[in-house]
Amino acid sequence: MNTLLRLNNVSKSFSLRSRAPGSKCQTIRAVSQVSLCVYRGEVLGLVGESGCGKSTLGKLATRLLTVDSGSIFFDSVDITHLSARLMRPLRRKIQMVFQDPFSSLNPRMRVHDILAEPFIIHRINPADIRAKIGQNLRAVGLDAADAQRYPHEFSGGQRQRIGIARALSLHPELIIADEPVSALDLSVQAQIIALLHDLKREFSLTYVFISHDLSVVRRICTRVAVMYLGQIVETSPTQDIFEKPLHPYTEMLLQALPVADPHKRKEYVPGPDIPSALSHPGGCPFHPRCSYAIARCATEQPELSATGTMREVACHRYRELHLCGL
Amino acid sequence: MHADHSITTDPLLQIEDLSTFFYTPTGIIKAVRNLSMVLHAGQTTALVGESGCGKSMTALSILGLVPKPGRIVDGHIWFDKRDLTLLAPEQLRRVRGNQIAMIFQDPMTALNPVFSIGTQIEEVLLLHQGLSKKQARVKAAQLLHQVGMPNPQERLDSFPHQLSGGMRQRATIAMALACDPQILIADEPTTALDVTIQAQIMHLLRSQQRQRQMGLLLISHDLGVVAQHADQIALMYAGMIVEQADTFSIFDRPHHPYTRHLLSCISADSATPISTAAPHSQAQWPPHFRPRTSELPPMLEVDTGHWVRAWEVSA
Repeated sequence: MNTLLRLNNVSKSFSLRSRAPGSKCQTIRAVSQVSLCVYRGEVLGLVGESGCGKSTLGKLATRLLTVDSGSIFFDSVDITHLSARLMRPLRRKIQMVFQDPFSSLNPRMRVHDILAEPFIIHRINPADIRAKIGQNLRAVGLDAADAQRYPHEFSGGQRQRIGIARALSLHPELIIADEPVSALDLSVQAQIIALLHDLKREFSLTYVFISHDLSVVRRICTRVAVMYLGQIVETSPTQDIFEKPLHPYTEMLLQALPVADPHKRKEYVPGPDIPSALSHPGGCPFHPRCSYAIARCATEQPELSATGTMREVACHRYRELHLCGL
Repeated sequence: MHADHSITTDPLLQIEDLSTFFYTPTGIIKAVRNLSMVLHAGQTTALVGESGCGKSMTALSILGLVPKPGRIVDGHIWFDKRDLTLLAPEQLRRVRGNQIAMIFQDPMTALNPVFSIGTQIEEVLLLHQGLSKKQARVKAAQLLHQVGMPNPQERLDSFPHQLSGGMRQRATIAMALACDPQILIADEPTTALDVTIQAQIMHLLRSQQRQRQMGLLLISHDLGVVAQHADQIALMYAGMIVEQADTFSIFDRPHHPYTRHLLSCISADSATPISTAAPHSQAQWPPHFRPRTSELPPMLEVDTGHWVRAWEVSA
């Protein structure tokens, strides 16, 4: 399969400096030693609880943040340390859609100016811009005349369409969408998901879809990567992961998901909260919350290893466990 | 599941034909229109709908907290043999937070950032139960223990920003339960939380509800949460209830086109997006709903206890 984006042992930490006298500088390991491939034409879901590092990973992949160690390849080119000038032509090919359509659009700019910015930055012939903006707006289900309006005149769903139109402007190959529908109502979510589907077909896009909402991920993604405390613990094709998860953490997420069917009520209560990213437990990061943990899990960190077709899991016991899907 | 025992008893809360309108310079916004529903002890009724459909305004109407320029223009809210719409502000204050408590979506805005959570829970107890400071502190620690807060004694002195989202929501639940309310209104209590924490919080709410036989009015847009936890469901659209029944009937035999549409949004393959977002209540109905006339369609009973707002009911 054709790899579009490859992350190799990527790590990123942030330091938290407290102003209190005598306090130590603490380090948050947001992403540690992540290796992940995104294949051309797929929709890869990146899921996990808040604070697990999924947004940081998205920003590293777009070079909005710089990695501490590891390397990033886009279309077989090492972009880890490309200069801003050399990065510019590649930026056209990787775009982002953000969660909050209220804060990701400048309220003082007309939609036309918001959508013209990418063209100006990338020095597209100014004569073509107006026509292109019209095309883009129509592609996302808005009207060319909407270009003259301001963001506040639009509903949340419409604003998210504008955000998507902006991301599409330069004909990207990869779109990293960070929780693009979580701020939206159910029926608007369905519209945006349908739109993302259509655009993918029309412009042969590849998506990385960052979300904490497994029911949305199930509807749109072809493959899922589960993150826990800065690490990937499982990757699988969507259907497999929902039917037969291999990692106990994936099982926990699936069991906690409320199913919209009153005939399938469950009395499952997950264990303790996600630990702070400040204090990584030794061994397997999940072992303090894992109900299947054995002594080995506390001391030895499991590697993410391939198993079966297209599946990877980081768990010492995955062969013996028979976990429940949905 | 719990649907059988309560139907014979008197409801805790009975709302009859409630209308809450907002009188703005640009016109009247009908936030809640002719809403009727009941809530029984130990039962969960879910108000479901998209943003702006009037579910939160219904809750605020019950508590007498409708912000200006809105007001209740019609209807009755029967609770404890009294009509809450007719109570004086002082009388209502004694009900609110005491017999009827509420928890909100975002615990960070519901908690005061400059007071410790102990102080905030104690305040409720001092105000409504007349406890001494010492007694209130003991009771506050007990409450934190009941809502599953680790080290409750130490947590009394924590400030909201020192707690995680799930722990903050536990603190607001402790505050809401402080006076042993008969009714708990939970407005999107888990929307801001991760699924794992959501499951914990819903479990906590349900177990407290069972112990205290509280009526729970659960406001949510999440059909998953509702399917798992509600006994009765009322679906709201543009300020009105469009369909109302027990949870199983709503999911198994939805009648109203809007209910069917919402349910189609959650199934993977059959999502049929409507062309417009949830309309402003003054706006036109989306085209594939029946053309709007000046009067509201009536509520028709299609099955025992299953009501649909429609002119006619198709099989």
